[in-house]
Amino acid sequence: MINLFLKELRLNRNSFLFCLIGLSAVIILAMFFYPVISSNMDMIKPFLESPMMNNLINAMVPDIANLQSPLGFFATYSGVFSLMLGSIFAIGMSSKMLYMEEKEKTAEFLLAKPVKRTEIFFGKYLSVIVLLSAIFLGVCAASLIGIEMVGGQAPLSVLLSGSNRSALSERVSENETGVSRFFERNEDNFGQFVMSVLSAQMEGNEERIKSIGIDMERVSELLPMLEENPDNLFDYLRNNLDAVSGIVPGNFTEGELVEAIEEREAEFRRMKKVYLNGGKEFDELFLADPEYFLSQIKDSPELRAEFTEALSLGGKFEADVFIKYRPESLILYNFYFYLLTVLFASVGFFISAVSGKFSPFGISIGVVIVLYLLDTFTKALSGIRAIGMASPFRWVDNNVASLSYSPDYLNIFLFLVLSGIFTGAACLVYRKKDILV
Amino acid sequence: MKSIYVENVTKNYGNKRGVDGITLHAEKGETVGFIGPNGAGKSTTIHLILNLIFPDSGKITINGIDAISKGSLVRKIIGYAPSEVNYYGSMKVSELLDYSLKFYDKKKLVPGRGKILRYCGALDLDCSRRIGDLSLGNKKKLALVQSLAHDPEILILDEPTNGLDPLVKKTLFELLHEESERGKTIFFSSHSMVDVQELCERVVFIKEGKIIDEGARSFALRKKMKNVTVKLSREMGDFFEENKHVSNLKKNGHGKVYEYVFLYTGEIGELVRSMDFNYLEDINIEEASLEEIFMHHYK
Repeated sequence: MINLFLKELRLNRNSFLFCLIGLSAVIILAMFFYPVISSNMDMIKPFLESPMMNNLINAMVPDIANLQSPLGFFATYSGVFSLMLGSIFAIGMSSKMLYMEEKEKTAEFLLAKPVKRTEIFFGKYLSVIVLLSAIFLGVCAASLIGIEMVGGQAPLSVLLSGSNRSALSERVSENETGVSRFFERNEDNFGQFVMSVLSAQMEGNEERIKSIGIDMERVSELLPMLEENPDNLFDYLRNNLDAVSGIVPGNFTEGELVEAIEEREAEFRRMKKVYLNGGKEFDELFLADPEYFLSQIKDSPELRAEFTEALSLGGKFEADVFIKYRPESLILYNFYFYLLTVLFASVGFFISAVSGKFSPFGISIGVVIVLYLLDTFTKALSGIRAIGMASPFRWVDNNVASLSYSPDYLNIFLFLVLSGIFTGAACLVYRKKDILV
Repeated sequence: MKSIYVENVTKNYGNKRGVDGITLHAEKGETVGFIGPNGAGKSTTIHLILNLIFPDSGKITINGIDAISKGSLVRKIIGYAPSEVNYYGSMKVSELLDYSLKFYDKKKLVPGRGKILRYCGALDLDCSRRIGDLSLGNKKKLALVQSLAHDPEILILDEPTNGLDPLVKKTLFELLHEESERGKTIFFSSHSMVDVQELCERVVFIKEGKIIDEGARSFALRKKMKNVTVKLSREMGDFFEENKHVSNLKKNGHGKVYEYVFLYTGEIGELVRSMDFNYLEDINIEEASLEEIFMHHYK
């Protein structure tokens, strides 16, 4: 049996590699769209929520908001493709296993050898399972790489987008005690905060700054001084008025310049006072640049939990913004993918065992496509949604972005039992089948 | 002991003819020819013995072991070369032979590889070539090497001489003769009487799914049946036609000499005595060939 098993592995090596590379490419490439979709969620959302699109989206994700987290995005885009491609590959490869021996008449060679039909069957079956397991591992690796490349590296501003950002500002303004107590604030990091706010304001406003005529080169010369000690900056400006006059176009008198500097300084001192004192007033500063503050607490699970709980933002916010993705959720989702491919492989063997002289490929691919459409169409139409439970695609839990995503043992059991039934039935049929060559 | 014993086996395919209650056997060490026209059920019988298909009724044993319930066991001692060779086209000759050998007892692996080299050399088969690129004759050679490599007790060859040129055929016969000397049972199907006659000790005839002569009769017949040519200087009228031992009568008139050619199954002395010696010009009595017996069965 080992002999046969090894031969099947060798014989299917190329199609296996083809499938693995294809799936990995689909997964990784699709993830590159994540930052674009996620950071423009505000723009896309009304479109997605229109009645027509809503039904389509429902077919793919449990909740539109899911698109915002790297995992939810993965399950929506890459997941949809890889489930389909993986299933077609699994059923195509397995239904070919027995059929090709009959069609190419090599069965006459194989069956004249001292092997039991059961051994032939399981030698082939195991080789398919091993290849599918390798694809499972490959898909796990590809999806981790894909997510890590875009999700893992994504700045908080990407993660903190759309509904999450609006929820945050809403909850912060509702909160009575203010959020200052969660963050470390002192003379030293005030400079960094100011810098962060400035760069956040400048980002995306480059055109406007240019049209006013502000000399950015001059400004960037002054910035290091601002970060080091803002107080010194104003003293420096007062003593070097010509440095200021070049920044903004137009002729200003010395008095006007001093006045402007002092005005800014007063504003600045007030801001610093608020920053250091905290209290409700601080919330305004927080909302001016939440990424700056949230990045302070993102690495501490206790602080994160405390913060989201105090503002009652919920687990999804925490998952989206801080955790980005849970590798175990990703593996579990891919494990469902694996179970699905194993089930379709078993179905493929069954179709191939009962199909006689007719090619099983058409039926096999048809089965996958019909079950896939059954799942998606019934998801889109809420009235008949339950009918989709008959499709194994539905048993893949795609609510992967949820923090409470955990194995659904009933579905896993269903996958395993059905795979077993189809495999057993296929083997029984094959054992007593006349092989006409 | 009977190496191969097929007892009252019937197999129907529905619209296609299978075999109908056939019984045949091969003794241990015997070389048996299995003769019949194309479509008579030769390959079906062999596929039944090998368990590719299952009989509707009847029994098949190999060395006394049930070949249907213990198929994988009995196939250990069988070597099989099919009539149409369809092996994995993407494999090399050497890969297939090694793959084939690994299905058998591990102890046979090393001597088997030695045998493969020997047989490939003898039959002039290039082991490094891809099976898909082989000619029909070379595929046939590959099938034969494959069937011999694990040194089986029983060789089942389905039309082994098809597509082989006369020289290779001669080498094959030498090989098979050698194997037979070493005590192998050889079951050899063919539609060519000449090949069978050269190699086989006994012949089984099959026609339209039925065994019409399982060896003993043909063999006795072959001993008894004579091919007679008589030249006479006068017309004999219905003299030969009326004799019940005469068949396949052919008559040629040459003016003064009349030639009668026929198969004769009776006592030869009786035939000679019955003739009028005054007119007898020439008489030639020889053993009938299997070809002639074959025609006798299928006419």
